[in-house]
Amino acid sequence: VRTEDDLRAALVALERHAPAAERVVPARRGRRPTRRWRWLPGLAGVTSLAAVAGVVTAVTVTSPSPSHIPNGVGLPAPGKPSAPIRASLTVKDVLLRAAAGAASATASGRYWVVSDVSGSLTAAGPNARPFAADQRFTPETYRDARSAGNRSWVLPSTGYTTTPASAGATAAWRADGSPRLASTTGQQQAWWQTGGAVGFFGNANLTLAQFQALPSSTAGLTAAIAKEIKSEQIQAGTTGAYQRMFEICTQLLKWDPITPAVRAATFRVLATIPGVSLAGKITDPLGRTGYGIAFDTGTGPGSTGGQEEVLVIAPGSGTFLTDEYVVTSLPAGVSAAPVSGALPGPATCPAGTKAYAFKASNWCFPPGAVIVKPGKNWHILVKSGIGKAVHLDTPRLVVSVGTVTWYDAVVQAGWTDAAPALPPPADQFDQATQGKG
Amino acid sequence: MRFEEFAAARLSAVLRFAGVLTGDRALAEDVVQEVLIRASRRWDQISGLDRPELYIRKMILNEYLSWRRRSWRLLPVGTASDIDTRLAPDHAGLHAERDALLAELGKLPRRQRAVLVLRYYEGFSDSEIAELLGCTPGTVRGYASRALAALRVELAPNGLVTAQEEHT
Repeated sequence: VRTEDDLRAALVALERHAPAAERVVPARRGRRPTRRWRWLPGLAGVTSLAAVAGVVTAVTVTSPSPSHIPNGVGLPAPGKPSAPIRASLTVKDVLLRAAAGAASATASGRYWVVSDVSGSLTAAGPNARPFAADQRFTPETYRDARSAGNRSWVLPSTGYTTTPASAGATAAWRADGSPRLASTTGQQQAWWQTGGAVGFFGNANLTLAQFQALPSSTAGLTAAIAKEIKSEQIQAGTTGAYQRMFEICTQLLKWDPITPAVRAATFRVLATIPGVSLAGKITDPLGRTGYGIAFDTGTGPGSTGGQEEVLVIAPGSGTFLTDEYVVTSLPAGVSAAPVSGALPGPATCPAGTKAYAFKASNWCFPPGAVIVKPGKNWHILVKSGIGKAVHLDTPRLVVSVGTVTWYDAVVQAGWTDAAPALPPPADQFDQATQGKG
Repeated sequence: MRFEEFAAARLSAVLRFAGVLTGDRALAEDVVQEVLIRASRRWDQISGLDRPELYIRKMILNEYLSWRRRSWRLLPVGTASDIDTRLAPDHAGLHAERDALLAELGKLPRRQRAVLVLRYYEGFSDSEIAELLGCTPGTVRGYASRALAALRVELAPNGLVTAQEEHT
C-alpha cells in the first residue's frame, strides 16, 4: 500500500535529479570535454526508460540495416501531400466520412489492446559528420474487460532502435564508419494492474466502464469536453481551449476504449474545432496512406520554428493511423536542412558571443546575458530576444519544412480476443505491490 | 533587492522546484529561463511585492501548465545529448517501488501533478495552492484526490498529518 509519505519521499528523491544552478567558468581553449559515446544517442535514455517501466533489459548494440529505415521518416520532407487532392474536399468532408466509417465498425473482444510505434528525430554522430537519427520504441497495453477487477497488462516495450533517418543520414552514418547505434532487446517482463482508471479524459481518470459510457452525440461529447477544459481554467473560445479540445479528441481516438458511436462522435467534434485544417493525402511514418487533419500548434518558445500536429486517419474505416508533429516554418536565421538533416555544432562562437564551460560542455552566450557570481560559482541567465545559448560542441538538428519530428503511429487499437503473449509467470509482476502473480 | 541578487540567491531553489514540478531537467531549465527573463524585465514591480519568490513560483507554474507539449523537440539546436539529460529516476539508487511511483507520476495530467508537488513537496495548504493555480480549494482537493487515486496512494486517516508527526 502506498502512503502519502511514500509520495513525499519519491518527490524528494526526484529533487536529487533536479537541475542545480550549474557552475559557469570561462572555457579553457583546447580543453573540450570528450564524450566518447556521444554518437550513441539515447543510450542513457533507453536504459532509464526501461528501468522506469520496470524492465530488465540488456542494452545491446546492433548494426541497423538501412533497409529498416521506415518510409517517410525524417528527411526528406514526408509531410507534404503525396498526391493532389480534390480541391473541393474539405476537412469536414473527411472527418464526417471518418465518423461514418467509425460508426459502422464492430467492437467485440475480451481485451482492449493498444500497440504503437513511437519515434522522434534527433541529431546523432560526431560533430564533424552528424546525421539525423530516428529513435523508436513500441509499447503495448492490454486491458482485460472480463477478468475480475479489469486486470490490465502492460508490456513495456518490445525494443528500442535507432536508425539513420534518411538516405542522406545513412550516407553520413556510413561515412563515419557505420558505428553501432543504440537499441534494446524486447521486454522480458510484464506488469499488470487491477481495476480503477485506465486512462485520462482531460484531467479526469476514467475506468473502462466510464469510457464506454461517454456521450455519443456531438453536442453531448462537446459538452463533456468543454466541462473538462473549464475545470482546467482554460477560457472557452480561445486558441488554447481549441488546442486542448484537439488534444482530448486525439487521445480518445488514439488510445481510449470508447464505443464505435463515441469514436464517430469524436470525429464529428474534431470537425467543429476552429483551426482544424486538411493537410491532404499523406503517408505516415509506417508507410500507410491517409488524410492529414492538422492543427497549428504555433511556434514554441525561444527560437523554434512553426509546427503543426497532424492526425493521419483513414476516413473510409474511421481508423486512426498516426499522431505526428510536422515542421511548418523554420526559425529565423535557419536555412534549409542539409542532406543528412544535421549540421556540425559551431567550431567557434559567433561574433559577439563568448564561450563558457557550462553543464560540462561548451556554450556560446550572447551579449546581454546576466552573469552573477554570488560566491565561488557563476550563474548565467540568457535574455531572450537575442536567442538561446548555442552549444559549441554538439551537432544541431536542422529540419526542413514538412519534416516529421515526432510521431506516434498506432499499429493496433481495438478489441481483440487474442490474449497478450506473456512471459513466464516468474516474470509477471503486479504493478501495485511489485509482487508476483 | 536587485534582480541579479535575487537570481544569485534563489536560482538553485527555483530550479529545484521546477525540476520536481516538471520531472524533466531540460524542460525545467527552459521554463526557469523563460520565466526569469520575463521577471527581469518587470523586476521593479515584482521586487515590490511581499513575496517575490512566491510570485516567481507562480510564474513557473503557469509556464509549466501552458508549456506547449513537445515543443522542445523542435529546437533547432536539439542534440542527442538532450535525451541523455532528460530526467529519469536513478534506478540503481532507488527502490523499484519508488521508480514505479515516479513513472506513474510522470503520466498524470500537468495540473494534477502540480497539485501533488505543491502539496507534498512544497507543503502548501490547499487554499495556498488554490491561490497559486487561480482556482478554488475545492478544485484543488478534486485534483489531488483524482491524482492520488490514479497513483493508488492511501490517505492517512487524519488527512495531511505525516506519519512522522503522528509519532511525535
